[in-house]
Amino acid sequence: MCFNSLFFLFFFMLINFFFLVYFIMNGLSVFFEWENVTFNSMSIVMSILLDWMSLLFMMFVSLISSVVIFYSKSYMNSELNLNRFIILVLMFVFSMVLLIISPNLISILLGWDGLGLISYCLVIYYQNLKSYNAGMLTALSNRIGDVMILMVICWVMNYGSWNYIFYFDFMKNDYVMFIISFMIIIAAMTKSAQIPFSSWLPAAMAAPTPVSALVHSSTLVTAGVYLLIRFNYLLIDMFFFKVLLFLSILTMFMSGISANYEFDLKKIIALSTLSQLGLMMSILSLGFPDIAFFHLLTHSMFKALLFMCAGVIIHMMNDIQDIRYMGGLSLYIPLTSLCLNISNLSLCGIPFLSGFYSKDLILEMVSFNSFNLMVFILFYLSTGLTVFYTFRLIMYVMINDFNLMMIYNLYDEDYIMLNSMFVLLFMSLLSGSFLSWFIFSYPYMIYLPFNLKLMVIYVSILGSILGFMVSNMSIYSLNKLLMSYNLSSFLCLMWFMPNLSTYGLSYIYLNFSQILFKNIDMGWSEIYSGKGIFNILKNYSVFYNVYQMNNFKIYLFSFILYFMILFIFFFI
Amino acid sequence: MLIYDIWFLFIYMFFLGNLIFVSKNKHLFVVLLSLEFIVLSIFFFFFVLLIFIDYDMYMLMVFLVFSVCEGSLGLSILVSMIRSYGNDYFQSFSML
Repeated sequence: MCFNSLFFLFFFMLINFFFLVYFIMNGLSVFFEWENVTFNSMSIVMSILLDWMSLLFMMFVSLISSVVIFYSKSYMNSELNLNRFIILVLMFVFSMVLLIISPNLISILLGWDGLGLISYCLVIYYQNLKSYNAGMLTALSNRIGDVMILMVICWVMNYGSWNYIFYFDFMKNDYVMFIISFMIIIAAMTKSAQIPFSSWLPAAMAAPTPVSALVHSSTLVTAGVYLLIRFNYLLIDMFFFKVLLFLSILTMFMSGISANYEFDLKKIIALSTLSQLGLMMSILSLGFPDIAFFHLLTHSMFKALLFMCAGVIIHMMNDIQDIRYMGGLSLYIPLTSLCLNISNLSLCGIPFLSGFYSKDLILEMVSFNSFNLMVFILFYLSTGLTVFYTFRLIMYVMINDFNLMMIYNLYDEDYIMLNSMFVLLFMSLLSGSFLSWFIFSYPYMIYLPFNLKLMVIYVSILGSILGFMVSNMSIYSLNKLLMSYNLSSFLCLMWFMPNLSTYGLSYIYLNFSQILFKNIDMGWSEIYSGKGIFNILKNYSVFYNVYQMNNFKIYLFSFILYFMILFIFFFI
Repeated sequence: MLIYDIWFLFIYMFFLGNLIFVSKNKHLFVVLLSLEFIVLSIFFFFFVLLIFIDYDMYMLMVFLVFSVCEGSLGLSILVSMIRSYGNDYFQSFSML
């Protein structure tokens, strides 16, 4: 099953690649339409839009999913129902492709709901309590987005069809478009885990690692960004886009800080995904959709590679995900640590790897256009924080001493996993330059002062020094650590938002139902049914027993009594 | 006390016998004795009644035989009760 899907998806990627080259060279875009029902001027059509954006995204999605499915052939080989897993992943890829190629809100809804549902099935794949909780958090957060898109479908009926791309140029100042843009932004925020809805992404790391590599790094969480890129012409002048800017840079900043306090390998990678998503959303809301798309694609490459390396490491450490137990791995698993290092450095934006092209372009555009001071500071701070947690991770995992056992034998000669990582390694080295020459028909002209240009390098060096210093901390290095306990727990636990999303929303209802339970279920309704009736029956039967437990002769005496009454009444 | 006729003696004896029968006593033997007293009173009344019907006493003999059988039955029950329980105390009966 894995081999078949590998070859099918790889072949699909090649088809997309050829069509992409042809379409970009000739500036072509194809629109298929199949009209289902036309009912009183409302037409339900199934449409497929193939332009360079959808072909490019489909190519990347099919490449990553083919590599991940081949990787999971070896990663999950002890799984009894591997076919079920592969079928779920294939259904996920199908929903994602349906979302990518649709200019029609109803087929977007099909793809969007399919993504949410199948990601829930994949998150709860290991059936333990933590997976169930994580799956519930994921599914319910995504459900809010589904509801928003359903309401958008309802509002767009005002315009006569659900092909939203035809209405952007004509209806910009309409009240209906205002409502639609608000709901679309909220839907994208839930899917891409921005600030109010960001608690599900670290929790969804309870899923198997191939699922995290495919779903939570490249496809599911970028669906929201993709939707906003499609809707970009509508949303540019709206007020809520500025709200989205504010929330997304806060997301970027918050997850960068929280990743520095984390010790779980997959959670660090999840929080770095969240930070990069915030980066994508913020550059989108500043008005540069094609740069956001560019960063989306390069990020998906190296983040999937990072998750796959994390999977190899977790397998090797006997399913331990805590980085405090790891160390010195670069000596023993050179190929995997090669992939890990390249993807980490690409994430930081080290020159001429793939992440550099997109990230540096974003930062230069932010510096070049005159924006807010807060936007500027938070962008550069988050870049520095990215380098900070990346170097901390590299120090903990690769450079410091090995902390698990005294005697160990670490190897990574699993060539199935390594081959799939090499494909992504090749792409994550080259995709930056390849895409920047391919999709930008003219380069961006940016000129900056000298120090502002080097600002990226300054924050990167600062972050790397701090990462090095923080990873050398031990239990007795700073005696005053506990004095900042409140601040540390605020920053570590993602500004307490997961608690707000889970406990904060259900606290009132749980409290209320506890009061009801204690007072009614175990209180009054025991008296009026159950125990009360039992007590009544018991007391009455005691009374009857006392009443009837007497001598037989009393019964016989009633005859004499009757005789006496007769005698008195009839003989006197 | 109220003796207008010899007929009132019968009422009085019968009623007293019944009263002893339904009274709460300790022994079963007292109940049997009261039954015999009732039989005796009926025997007396039957005798007086049959004098008014041309001195025909045969029915009285039949009644006597049956009452004696009944007395002996009662005594045999008493004997079997004593044999099984050891006493004839009247404690184990209730309304139910």
